[in-house]
Amino acid sequence: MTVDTSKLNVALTDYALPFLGACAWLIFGYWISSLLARLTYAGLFRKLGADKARAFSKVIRFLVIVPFVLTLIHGAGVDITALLGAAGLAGVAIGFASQTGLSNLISGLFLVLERPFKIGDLIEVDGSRGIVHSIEMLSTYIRAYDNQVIRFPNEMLAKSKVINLTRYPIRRINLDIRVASKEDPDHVMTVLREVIIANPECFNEPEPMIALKELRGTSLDFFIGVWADSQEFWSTRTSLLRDIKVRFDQEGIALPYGRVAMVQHADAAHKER
Amino acid sequence: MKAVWDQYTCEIGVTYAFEMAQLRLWLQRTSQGWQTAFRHEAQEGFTPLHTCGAIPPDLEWQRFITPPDAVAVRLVPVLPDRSVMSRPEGRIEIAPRHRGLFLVTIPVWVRVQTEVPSPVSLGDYPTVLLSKTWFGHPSEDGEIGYALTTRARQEMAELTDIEGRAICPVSIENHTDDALTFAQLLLSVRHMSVYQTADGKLWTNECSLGYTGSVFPASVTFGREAPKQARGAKLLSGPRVVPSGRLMARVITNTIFKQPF
Repeated sequence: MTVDTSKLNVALTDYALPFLGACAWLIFGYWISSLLARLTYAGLFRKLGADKARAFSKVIRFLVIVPFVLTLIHGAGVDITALLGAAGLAGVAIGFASQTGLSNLISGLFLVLERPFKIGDLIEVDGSRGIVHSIEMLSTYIRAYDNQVIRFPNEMLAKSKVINLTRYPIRRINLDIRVASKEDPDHVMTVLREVIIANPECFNEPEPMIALKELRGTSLDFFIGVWADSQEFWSTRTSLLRDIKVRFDQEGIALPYGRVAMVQHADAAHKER
Repeated sequence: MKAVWDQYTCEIGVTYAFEMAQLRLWLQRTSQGWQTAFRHEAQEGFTPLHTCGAIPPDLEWQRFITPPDAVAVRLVPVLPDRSVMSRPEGRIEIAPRHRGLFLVTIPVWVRVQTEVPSPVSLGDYPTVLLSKTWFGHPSEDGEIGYALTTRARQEMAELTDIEGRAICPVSIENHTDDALTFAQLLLSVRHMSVYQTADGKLWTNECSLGYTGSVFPASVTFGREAPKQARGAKLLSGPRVVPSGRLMARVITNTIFKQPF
């Protein structure tokens, strides 16, 4: 049996070698883009943080890999101009079709650049509260206290009111404290001040604020603003409330009770007879 | 009387107690290591390590598994784990182009450690529970530290009842033509060491601050050894954080005379 080596040579030179060359070119392009993306991430990580550095490195990877792919297509004899035109048209069509996705993508970019929060921050959006777990291209995931993961489309985050509860290392605990209206307001304020000073988790500076807020029929309403470590917010709030209750009990300061006063007028009583 | 900051060989199963200021500390050597318990009380006291008869029933013991030849513990005074923001009790003004030396006493923490075959910490225990505080503007960079009210004494003779406190000599030099109010001062105690003189007093490195105006408010330098008031003092514990070039720069920018906000 004879083998027609000329056909094999043709197949090799016309198809296999160009195919292998194209693969090598793509691998090289991928390697270069990965290298530049990694360098970009490493260079920007300290200055801009993980979120922005990751976003920029993705852009760099995209910008580097695209010319490699276009060169490859051009090398295969495909008219790039026509292809780009077709891609533009297709892009418009896809854009219309995927308006929400695109909006999320752009919103995600704005979130990364504007940086209203970062991974690890405690945020509150639309009544949901949790720690930012990841910021993806289309959506952001937060982990709620009960370990549920909530996904927010980036577009929604861009449009909504987002409260970042741990942006600053310190946070003020705001408490409304009501006592019975018969109590002496000066005494109550002195006791509250002493309780705050005695609690080591309550900051001396910025100074705590204690104010008599309202005089009601059944109660005196006080406002307390105490600064604490953001990371210790709930434990400090709980210990402060507990300390106030214990001290109020020691001092005999009464909390207001919901009361209904029934007054019987003498003439009304007479008429009913 | 045995020195407070010393090494103590302990028997297995015997409970030892130690009191300093608000701290009450209990130690017990077990067959596999050590266990400690502590609490803080409002009433201040002082009793060196001693065998303890009655143990409070509600103690929460923490266990440490150590090598079998770790039969002794050493009590070491260390400075707090955060910066201390010291505020003088009364208003103090430093005249233009003048220098003031203040003796600020800082409550130490007690580090319990075994030393054989190598040092193993059994915990750091504050002798006084200082309130936390914030040094800086609430919405800007700042530092969480401990609040300390100081009488900012200027003479050694005025320092009495300083058991469990380390004396930090703070020198403040006003380089400007205006009077400087010493309102409050952040002391980065993590960069300071603790020394002991022959009379048992504890000292830290000297801290020198120069006030040059509002643009670059202050510069700070730490003495590299015991202050001159404590010549020949023995080093008991080194800094928690060894000041490097970067750390020193951070200290300089953070150690400002706080402006009201």
